[in-house]
Amino acid sequence: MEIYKLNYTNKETAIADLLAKGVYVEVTFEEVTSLAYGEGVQAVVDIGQIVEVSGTYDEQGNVITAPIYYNGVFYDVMCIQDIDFGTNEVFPIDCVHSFMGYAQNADGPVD
Amino acid sequence: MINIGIGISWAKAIYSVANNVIANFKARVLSYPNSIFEAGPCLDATLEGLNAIGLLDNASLIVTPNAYTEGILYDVIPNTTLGDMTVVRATTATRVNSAGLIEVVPRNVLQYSNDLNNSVWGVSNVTKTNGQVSPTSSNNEGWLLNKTSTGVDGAVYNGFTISSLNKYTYSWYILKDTNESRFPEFYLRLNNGEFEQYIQLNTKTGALGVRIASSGCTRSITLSPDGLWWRLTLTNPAPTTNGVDNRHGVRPAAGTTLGVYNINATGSVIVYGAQTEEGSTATEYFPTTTRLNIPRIDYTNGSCPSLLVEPQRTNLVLYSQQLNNATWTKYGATTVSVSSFNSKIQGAIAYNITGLNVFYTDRLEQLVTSISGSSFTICLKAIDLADVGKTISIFGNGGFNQNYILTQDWTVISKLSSQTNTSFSISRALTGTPADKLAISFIQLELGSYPTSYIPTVASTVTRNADVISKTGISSLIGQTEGTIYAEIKVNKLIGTASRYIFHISDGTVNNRIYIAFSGASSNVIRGRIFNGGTLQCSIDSSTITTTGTYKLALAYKNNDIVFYINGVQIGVDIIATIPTCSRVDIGHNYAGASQLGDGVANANIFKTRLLNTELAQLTTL
Repeated sequence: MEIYKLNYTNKETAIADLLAKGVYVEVTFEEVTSLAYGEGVQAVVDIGQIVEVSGTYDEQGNVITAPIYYNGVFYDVMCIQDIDFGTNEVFPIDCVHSFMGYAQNADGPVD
Repeated sequence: MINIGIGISWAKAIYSVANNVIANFKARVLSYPNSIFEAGPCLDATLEGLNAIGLLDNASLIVTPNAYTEGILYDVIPNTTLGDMTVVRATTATRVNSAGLIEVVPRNVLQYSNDLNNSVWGVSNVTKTNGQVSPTSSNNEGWLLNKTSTGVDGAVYNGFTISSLNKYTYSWYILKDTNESRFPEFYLRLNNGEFEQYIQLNTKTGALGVRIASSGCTRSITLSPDGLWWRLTLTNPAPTTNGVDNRHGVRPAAGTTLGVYNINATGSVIVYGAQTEEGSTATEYFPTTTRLNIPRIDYTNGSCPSLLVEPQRTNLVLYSQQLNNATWTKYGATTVSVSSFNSKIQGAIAYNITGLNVFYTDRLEQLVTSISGSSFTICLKAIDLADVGKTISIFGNGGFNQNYILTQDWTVISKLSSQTNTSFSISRALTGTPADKLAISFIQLELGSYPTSYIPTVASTVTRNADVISKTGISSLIGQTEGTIYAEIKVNKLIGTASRYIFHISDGTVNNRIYIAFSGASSNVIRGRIFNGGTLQCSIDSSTITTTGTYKLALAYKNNDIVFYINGVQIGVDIIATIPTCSRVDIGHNYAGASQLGDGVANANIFKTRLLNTELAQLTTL
């Protein structure tokens, strides 16, 4: 099993690349077309933006300073096959997302 | 004597078919290594019910939530590998166990718990020989661990990952012997040694020598009823982080004086069944390999289990059951303290939240990223009886605000939020009789149209993958020109409009399939449908389901002769339909492993004939 940590400019770019690499496939099911996992893909997790510097807030919850985000959006993919994601693959050391039963920073081949 | 004998034989004759089925099933399942069998009386009742209406012998496939191992849910009928269902999730998960508590599946956090040759076990200066005696009947599954060299440290250990900050308990069976010339040492190390203990054992007397033990570590030892095996138990306090270095280990020879480390000690020990689990109790040994694909035998709301089949979900809340963590901000007078209540989670700590004196000013809060359409789940109760009936408020900064009345017992409440919230907060309510305190077991916030089972988190969000329970290439078990599919489900929540499959047979494509599912077009409607060659042949919908509980569903099919029954009532018929060829079975989702039921399947059967209407009525009567 492989876990990939991915970073894209935006969601549209991400989905296009995931479709191109067979992570997602488009299926039409009862006249509705949607994204499904490709062969060998166990999970795709849309993490979205990740906070780099936390915002600050007053007692009433009002923003004092807005949070600062890392560039782009992030995805985690778990699959059984090797996939070359090129420069979209990143290697964080303090991951904000993990899969249940794996170490927080589990990455690459995990079994 | 003869009359009594005849009487006994006659009585057995009624039940012998079911009894034989169960006996044969158990014999097969338990002959496999690492297999688990549970809830036998529930299986007994299921099969007796089928036998009583004369259908047990007619079933070509019976799958129940009773026997499993990693990656497999065993079939009762045909009781061969042909009908065994393949289970894929690739993550661990949680279930409600038979005691009504939430536990991680599997509870044993060690991978390859009794395969000491696997690379998850670190080894230095110790030889390992399997095939030794073991406490499990005639199976020789014990391991001889031998340290033969002086002047070196000899150890074997399993490095494991923890998913929550609870106490952890270590257990291992050790063969009793008469050797007092060397003393093996057993150890549990959490979070890089934050809490650790190294305990030497006199394998003849059971005496323990504490070499190293952090504050709060405890230990005990018991002798098996046959007097042959020690079971050593070590319990360590909850670590403050889920550090990367957690170890369950042994040194076969660590001393020549009990409790004193000696690098020159040599000798061996026989062990079996390593287990480390959350909480302070060593439970029955649960054998593991990868830990990742275990079907969830879930006891939510009942003494008999069902197979829990859920979609992929992520808990977006950090430290979901450690409410004293700094990620949970305590505003105003709010305080968080360890509760005296046992948590709803096996072995975990619950927390009391107090000081909620003023709405919003006094609140417990975590900043989260929540996308519109999130579901949240919180397990809570009143601290004092006087607070039962009082009200707290759960709200987010996107506009979500919901009041809840506190109860005396742990209650798991869930709600779908249509707003986008970036904070999750708890305070006293603005209406009703506000409560200024409550106890909480865990909190979950997940993206999705309905809440699912608990996913524990620590320092990151955590994803549980979807359950996929399927089998391909079994056309011989499926009626091809006529047949009946039957499922018993436990509806624990009314979810509304969502396509959720209960029992599905197909050729592995969208074009040819027969299924029973919750409708994706109508709220809480169950439908029976058949597609052949991509054309909808039949669609029979129930009226709206308005109550939770058990539902028994049967869809019988034959060319131009389709009928759908629910709970003993004929829902509808279709007299113009052709039947597709099918070879694949999916339980709790569709042919693509998607659109999970999100609830439990208690029984799934296939008959290769279109059962009579009278039989269908009997089969589905509650």
